[in-house]
Amino acid sequence: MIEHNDPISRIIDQIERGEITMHSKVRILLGTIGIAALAATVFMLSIYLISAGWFSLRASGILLLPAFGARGITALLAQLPWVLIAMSVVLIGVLVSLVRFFPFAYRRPIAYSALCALGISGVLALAVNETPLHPLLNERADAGAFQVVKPLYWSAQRDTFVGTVLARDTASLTLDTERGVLPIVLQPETKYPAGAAIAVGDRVLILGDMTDGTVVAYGIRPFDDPAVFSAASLGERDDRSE
Amino acid sequence: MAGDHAELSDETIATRVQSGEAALYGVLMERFAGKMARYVGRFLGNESDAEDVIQEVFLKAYTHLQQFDAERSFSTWLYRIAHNECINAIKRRKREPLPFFDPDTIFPHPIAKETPLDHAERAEMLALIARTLDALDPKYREPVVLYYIEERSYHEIADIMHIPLATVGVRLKRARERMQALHAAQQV
Repeated sequence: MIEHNDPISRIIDQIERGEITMHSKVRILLGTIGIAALAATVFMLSIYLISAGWFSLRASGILLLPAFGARGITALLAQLPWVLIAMSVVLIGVLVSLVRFFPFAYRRPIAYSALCALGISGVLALAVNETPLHPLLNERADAGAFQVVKPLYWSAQRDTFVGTVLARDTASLTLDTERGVLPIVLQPETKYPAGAAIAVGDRVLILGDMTDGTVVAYGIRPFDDPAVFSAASLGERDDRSE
Repeated sequence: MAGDHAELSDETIATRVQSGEAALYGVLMERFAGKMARYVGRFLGNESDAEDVIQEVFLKAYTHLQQFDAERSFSTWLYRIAHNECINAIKRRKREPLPFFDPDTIFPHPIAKETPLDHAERAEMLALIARTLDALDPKYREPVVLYYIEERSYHEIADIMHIPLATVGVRLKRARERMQALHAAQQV
């Protein structure tokens, strides 16, 4: 066989000898499917994380904290799920990187792709929140199953307390919370929503300082967001409304 | 070989190579050898690196040819492979900075109109490029080579470099400004 020295001829010789071969269409298809599967997985994970975060924000009651002014906003910022937010941002970033292989993405600024990914994930996350998925998973995690998702379902912490009023008088009430039964001291300065009457059996959110097991309430608000209801009780509510 | 198939488009030849006529790949290589030599040579600024990169470009183009969609431009597809190989070569050299994160591609810019140069303007620009190209950062050097030397359109450059269309105009504008500043500094 004649050996050619110019690069073009060398490559043709290598092709003819079978030293260089085209990747098969199957291999290329598998690669494309792999990227698509990875993008779909990242997308679904981002939807789940965003929806779980939104569910927990509502279920914990901390979205009501800004009603208490600057102290409430500070308490909200301290309790936001920053790790979850960071993970969601990273996932959106990964998703944007994956779609930038395609002309519809790389021909436009990254900000457009990121906003689009965030917008679509956000809308789908809100749709997921209309299903009983998170109340169910939250209950199962509390019962000991699905422990891997337990960190995604968190409750109000630090100086924020959510629970059901077990008893009350003019200067105090007893609150049944996830942190146990707590006595709550009401003061003249305690912020109430105008016209609200807190009764036994009501679910409330309290911002206050706990000392020796007693909470001095800075503010109190009714809290009956449907997100906290379990899948079973959602069924009961549907029955009652019929 | 090239003469026998002069009437065939690049895309037609690529499709026939995909179907098994491997010998026709030589026709594509002959057609693009000069363009690749010019593009890679001017982008890398180093002839010994360029030969290795060009060989790698044609090897990769052949092995990945089944990925090529004949509805699109073979030329743009090949330049895209060459772009990736040049970037890899620059990273291996480590002598020139390549930012991981490019702020130009994040936010929208107004899309600059692509205005063709007349003969005198083009000659002036090519003279400026000859004097200052090697001193430009790779991210400005490449669009200059593609636009003024390879005569690619803004759309083609966007597809080759995988950047937004508006960013192509921004980079060319900044490249012109830098070349003029470099030329002025050389005059002093």
